[in-house]
Amino acid sequence: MKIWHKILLGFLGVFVLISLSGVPTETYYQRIIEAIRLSSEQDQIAMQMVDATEIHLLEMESCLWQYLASGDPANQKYFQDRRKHWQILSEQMADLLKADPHMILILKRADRAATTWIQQVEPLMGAPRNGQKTVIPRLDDVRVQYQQLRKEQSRRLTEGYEYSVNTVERSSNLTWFLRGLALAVGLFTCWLVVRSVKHPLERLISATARISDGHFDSTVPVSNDELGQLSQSFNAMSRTLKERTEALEEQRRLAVQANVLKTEFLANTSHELRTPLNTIMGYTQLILDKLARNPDEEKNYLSIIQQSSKHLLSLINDVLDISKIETGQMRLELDPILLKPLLDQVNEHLRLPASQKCLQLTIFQSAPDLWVQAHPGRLKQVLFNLLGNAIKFTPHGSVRLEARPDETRNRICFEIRDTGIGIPKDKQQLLFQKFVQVDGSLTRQIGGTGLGLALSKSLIELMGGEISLSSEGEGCGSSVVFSLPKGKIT
Amino acid sequence: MILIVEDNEENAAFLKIFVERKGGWPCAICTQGDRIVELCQSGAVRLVIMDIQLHNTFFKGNAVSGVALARHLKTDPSTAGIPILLATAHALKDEQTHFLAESLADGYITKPIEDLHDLLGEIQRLVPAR
Repeated sequence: MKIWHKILLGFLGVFVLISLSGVPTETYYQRIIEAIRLSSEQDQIAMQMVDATEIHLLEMESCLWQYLASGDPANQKYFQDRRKHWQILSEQMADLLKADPHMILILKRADRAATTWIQQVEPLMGAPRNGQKTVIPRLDDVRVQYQQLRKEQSRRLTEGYEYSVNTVERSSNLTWFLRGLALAVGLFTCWLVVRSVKHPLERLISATARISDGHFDSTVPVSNDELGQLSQSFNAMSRTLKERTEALEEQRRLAVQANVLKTEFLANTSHELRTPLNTIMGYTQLILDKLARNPDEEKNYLSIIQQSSKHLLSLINDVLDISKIETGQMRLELDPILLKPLLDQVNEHLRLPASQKCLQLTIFQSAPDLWVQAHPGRLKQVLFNLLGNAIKFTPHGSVRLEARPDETRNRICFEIRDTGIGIPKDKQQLLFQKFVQVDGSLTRQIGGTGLGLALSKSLIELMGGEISLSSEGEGCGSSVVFSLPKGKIT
Repeated sequence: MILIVEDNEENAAFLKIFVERKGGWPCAICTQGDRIVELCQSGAVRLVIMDIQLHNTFFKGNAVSGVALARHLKTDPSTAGIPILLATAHALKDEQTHFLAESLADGYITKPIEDLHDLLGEIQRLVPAR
């Protein structure tokens, strides 16, 4: 059952209760009307009493006539008797009507008229009959008063009854009207509640569904009630979810990319390790199968095997170094080094490969006593790497290393410049990335694991230096500049 | 004649020595794309041992890989009959399958060549009898 159905049902329950409350109320109203009817009976008694009082007066008049005609003293007694009754009735009536001053006033007026009449006729009752024509006061004026009383009482009776019944009916109608109004207001409120709950909830539901479908940018409009707060939290949650998902997605992408690069690196490393191994195994086979024609040839095979083994070893060392740097295990002891003997050694080693390609190799330092703060073995490795690269990638022309102090930054700058094949601008940044080889045949043509530059960069940074590479583009040669802190002579 | 297309001079040299002296097949080493196609078209070549990564090999002015060169030879009717043996240090199975399909070559050997005598057997199998 949906929430708005429940709300609607709850309101309907309230309406039914309100309507049912009409049943006892209506019963009470009926009882009130009954009570009014009963109370009006009392007034009717009063009405009858008026009649009776008047009859007593009429009888008193009749007694008077009979007395005057017959002189029978019995009439005198009867007159007195009626008069007493009239008195009693008159008093009872006053008691009955005492709540209504208007009626009392009229009653008193009638009483007064009757009393006056009685006082006028009473002497006639006792007087001896003298045969004279006796003037008898007329009762009509008194009766007019009593008629007035009756009329007034009758009016009062009707009016009072009608007023009471009307009041009760009005009250009952008002109750029904209020009940209807309550129903209408209730329905309207119910509609408002349903409207203010239903739509935001539906929007939240559909937004949640969208999010679960992966549309994390789903938001809902915010109203200014509790559901608005919920919507606000929902939007915040959706935003957070979106950011987190994107961050996770980015991390996943990076992890996948790193994994791809690592796999590529492994494949390339495997390829590069296999090439010298192939030479070693091949020449070993030649020797084993005694295919050398003379001892010199065999010696040549062995020397090729030795060279390839050394190459293989240097490759393995490079891979191990990179791996050590990657896992943060490489620690370098830095000492002040006098540059000259180190550069001489480098020159010694690289002169032969350069001259084999007919390249002019120049190693130049701007002052004879430059000191640098570095690890001698690693600095040599970096220079071999960078100069070796320059020689490899330069088919003809020259390779030049220049070392000079940078006084402002208290550093020694090394610049390796060649007239080689250069590096395309878009590949220059890529070259220093670990496990990334310049794609295509370029690097593979020359050999190497593609680790040289990445390894050199890492080593230079471990020694507190920095490296940058520039090339005007393909065919324009390239220039690698790195700097290391000056060595402090103690 | 067996044509060895291999730009690592030392590796090409021991292959030539072994195949010539042990197998008795005359060999030639060449890394120039246009010359390779020429030699093949001349009818003198009975088998090509092709390296995949050729560093300074150009064909009609463009750098080519061993795979592209093999494909060219295999799709040219005048050279399609010459068996080609791919030789490379790419050791992954996926790579080998891919290179074989791409190059239309007849066989594949992985460097380092574990036993050169097996290579002779492979040559024997691939070279058509005259």
